[in-house]
Amino acid sequence: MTYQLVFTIDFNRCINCKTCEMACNSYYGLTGAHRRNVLTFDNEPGKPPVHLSMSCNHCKNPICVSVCPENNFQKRRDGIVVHEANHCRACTRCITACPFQAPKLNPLTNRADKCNFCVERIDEGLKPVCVENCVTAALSVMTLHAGEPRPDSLKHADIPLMSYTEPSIFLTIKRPGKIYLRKG
Amino acid sequence: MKKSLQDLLFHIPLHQLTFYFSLPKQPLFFESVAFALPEGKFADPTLLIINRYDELKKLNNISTAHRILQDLNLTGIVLCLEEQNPVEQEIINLFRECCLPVVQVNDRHSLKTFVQNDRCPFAYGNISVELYGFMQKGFVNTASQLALAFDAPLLYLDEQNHLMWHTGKEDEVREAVRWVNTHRRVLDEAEGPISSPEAKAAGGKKEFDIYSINVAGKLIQKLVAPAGLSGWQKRMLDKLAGLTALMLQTEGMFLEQQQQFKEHFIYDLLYHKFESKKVMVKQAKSWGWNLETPHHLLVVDVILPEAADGLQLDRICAYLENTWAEAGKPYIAFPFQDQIIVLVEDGEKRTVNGRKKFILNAAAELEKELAKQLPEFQFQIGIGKWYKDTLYLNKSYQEAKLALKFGKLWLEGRSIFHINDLGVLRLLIHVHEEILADYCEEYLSQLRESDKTQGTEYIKTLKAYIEHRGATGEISEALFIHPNTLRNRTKKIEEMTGIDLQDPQEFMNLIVALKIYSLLHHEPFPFK
Repeated sequence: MTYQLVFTIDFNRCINCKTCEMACNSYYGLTGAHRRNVLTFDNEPGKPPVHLSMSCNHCKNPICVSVCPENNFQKRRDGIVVHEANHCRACTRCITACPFQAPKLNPLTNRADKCNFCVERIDEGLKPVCVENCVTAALSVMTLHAGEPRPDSLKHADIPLMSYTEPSIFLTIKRPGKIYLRKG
Repeated sequence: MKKSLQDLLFHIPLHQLTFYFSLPKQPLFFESVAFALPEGKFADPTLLIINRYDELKKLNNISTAHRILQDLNLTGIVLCLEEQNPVEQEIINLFRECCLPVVQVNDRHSLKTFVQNDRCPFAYGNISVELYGFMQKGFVNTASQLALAFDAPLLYLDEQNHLMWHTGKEDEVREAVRWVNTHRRVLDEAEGPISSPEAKAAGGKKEFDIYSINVAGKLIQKLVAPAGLSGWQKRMLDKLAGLTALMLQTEGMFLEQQQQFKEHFIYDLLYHKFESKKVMVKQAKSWGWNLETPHHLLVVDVILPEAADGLQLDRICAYLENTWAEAGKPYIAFPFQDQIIVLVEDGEKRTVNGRKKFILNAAAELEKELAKQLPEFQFQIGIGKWYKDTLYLNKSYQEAKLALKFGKLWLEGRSIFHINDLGVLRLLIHVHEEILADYCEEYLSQLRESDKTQGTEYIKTLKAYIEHRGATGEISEALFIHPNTLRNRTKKIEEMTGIDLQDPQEFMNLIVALKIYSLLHHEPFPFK
């Protein structure tokens, strides 16, 4: 792999505005199934909730590749996992297998659909539409070159498979204190 | 206008020059150029250019040759004909004896060099043409020609000052080698970014000159030639050194591009589905890989001892490929992301079981070969499924990695893991850990509690029971306990878990619970 593009999410900055989600839906004309979802965790009483904007994590070892009977998932040289929907038979194996529920069944096309990191924008040197529209810069993109240590966010999560897939996502955990939300 | 023959030769691309014997060190001047043999004698110092076959025929006549040799105004002869060695050997020998220089130039366009008066005929704009011709002719041929023209030995030293190539008379070469061996320090000091034909032996008699072949400052090799060469000879050698450096740089860039192309191809092969098999097969052929036939894919993890500094996977792969080539096995090995990937060709018609046996045997042989080569390292091998279509090697790669990752945890005492060995466990990795823990606790909580509080070894006994398939003698031997103690323990286990160990259905549930226990606690599970 030449390099890996990684989504980075700063919990200190995310205000649950869901602009990323809406921007993605609007850009791709999605209705019914969202490629990006902002999840809210309110686990610790007395502390503010944590918002996590999740989509496909473009794992180092994507399980979708090995479960798809049509071999429709591919990992590009920039690490982006793309789904070739043309030959998708909507078997939903990828939807069930992905520990992050990244692929979803698009009710309009009746085919699996997932975040593709806005590859067409990336190829034009632009940022993904969710990152471009994030008002607090909580969501951004990082480039990880070969040999650099990979992020271990979500690696030790609750599903054994996650330790294998190695999701390409970097999380900045919430710190106590005042946060200034000026876009960087 | 007086012109020196040797100086003009410098402006002709080296690969176009053919020398029949050595040229005089001193410049040979001429004022006119003639394209035909004279009836009488030349009026002033003249260079004779033979570029027509009728003139060549006249020259090949021995009496004509004798006649022109009498002409003191004939400075030299330049041959420019398509044919190599067009002049009779007898005539050439005659010219050599009489020291009449004869040079052959391959390209007619280069003859302008001798005719033009006003400007330097060679421009840097032609450097690419010269480099191309030099690469076609090769360093050895070109350098041999120069050594012949200078009547001098020529040595080529690598970056460690080891002799790579030499030419010249045996005794002269021996003397030059002796000088190199006794002047290592001088040679080391001569390393620098600037080509220095003037490098002198420090503190000693100057016997040889060093001509640096500086490849972009990254690699410095050297030419060694006698110090007493004249100016035009030194310039020619410097040009040879420069062209050699450019050739090495160009070849290095080509190799680098090839390497990059290979890396991209490997990435695409393992992570990408090629649009067309034809394209994939064609690209693979660049390295002699035949991906038309189906292949098994193996991922090899190399476990380094603690004290090890690192490992060159490239060298291991090269060793493996050499070994296989000698044994006539069409296997492929290459490093990828700190692991070794091995492709094992298997286009034979086999049963599913036969195919698995074949690849397990191949993996065992591979492990043995690696252990023989690197006894201080450990190797673990993951094997993916076999697909009839090589376009599916990307899936096989993911499966091999999955087998390796979880096989290490679940299959104790083994180093080769086939994806099919994981069985039902491939499903369990998708289940939430809490659900798995609950299931595991349901069967094992009391046993674990007892092990913890009372020091019983129920979990260990249970593992041994599964490993030895309930054979009392083997289990008691493995645990170093009396068979009656074992019977007592199994009875207790049955009471505490409510499971009849003789009932295959219930026993299977217990095995699964133990496997989950191993997974959650990252303990290898004894299962064969």
